[in-house]
Amino acid sequence: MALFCAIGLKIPDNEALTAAATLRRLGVEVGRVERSLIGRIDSNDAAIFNPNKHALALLDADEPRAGEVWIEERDGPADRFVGWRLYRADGEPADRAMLELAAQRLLCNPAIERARFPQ
Amino acid sequence: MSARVAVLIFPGTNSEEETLRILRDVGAQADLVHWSRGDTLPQYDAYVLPGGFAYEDRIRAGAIPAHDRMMDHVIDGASRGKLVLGICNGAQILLEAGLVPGTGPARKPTAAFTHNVQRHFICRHVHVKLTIDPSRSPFTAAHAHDALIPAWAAHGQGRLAADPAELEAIAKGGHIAFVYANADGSTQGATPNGSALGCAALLNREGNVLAIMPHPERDAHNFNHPQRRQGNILAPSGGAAFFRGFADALNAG
Repeated sequence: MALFCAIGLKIPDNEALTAAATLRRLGVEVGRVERSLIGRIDSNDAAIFNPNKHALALLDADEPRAGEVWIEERDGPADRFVGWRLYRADGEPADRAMLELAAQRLLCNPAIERARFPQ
Repeated sequence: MSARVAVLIFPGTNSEEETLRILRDVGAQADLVHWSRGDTLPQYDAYVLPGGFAYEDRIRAGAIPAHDRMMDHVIDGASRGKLVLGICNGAQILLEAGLVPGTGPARKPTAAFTHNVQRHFICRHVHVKLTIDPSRSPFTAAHAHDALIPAWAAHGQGRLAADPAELEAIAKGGHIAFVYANADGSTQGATPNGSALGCAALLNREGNVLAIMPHPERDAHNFNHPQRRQGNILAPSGGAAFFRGFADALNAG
């Protein structure tokens, strides 16, 4: 049985911190950024994550959560994404406009990547 | 007064010393410029972005340094015709900054040097062959047609990739300055990483910004070669020719 999951860091995520700082410099007024590796797992996967430093969330659907944009390589492995979850300064998930701006200005290089937004 | 070259150091840059060394060896007046002294960059006449892992390749190789404040000066300088050279990670930064191939606006990448086809790091000796008319750019003006330059490919993300229309524009626009080649100058089977069009280096339309993935500075002295045990190991070797052309262009003004 294959499930979609998001694996993120429990410990401070320097990459997410750098993304947040750079997005703010680029005029995207995020409050907080979370980063996850998104992908399908099945019962044959022997080692998925390290619970000492990773948090795993099983996803209800194979699409981004509220405030999240998934970035996939155009010629990379199927069903593998980097998920960037953006929150506004008031703590609410970013809306579509903010996600699109963040993807356009930093998170997605359209030459080699595609962005998937929540429905 | 000689033109001055700034060799930029971003957090995570690691190839600045050998780059500085060969630039000085060929007669360029070159300085290291640390990211904390980026405000001095406008004083320089040319910029070199060396190899390494600037900002740990966070998000994508070159993505974060492309928005570093030092790049504000590099982009401005490039628009004024200053020579800008990027090597390996430096080349990735120039692509993320949109300076090469330069077919789109600034800071909007239209191509990338991305994951090798093998999906892992490679380190091997290569040659790159000049594919443009040498007069197309000050970087190449001193070279012969079809000049062959030795270098070391040391990267996990060196494959040129873009959508088909952009690759066609890159090819037709004369943006591919060097392709991978064998030691005899042939190109069959020479590309080590699956790079589109065999591309090893990209040039902008104006000819003043060059992004090269392999490291010619790592074949700049005989001590870079395990086979060269005879003679003066400190003497310049083949890769020095690449920088000699750069220095000649700078000093010619």
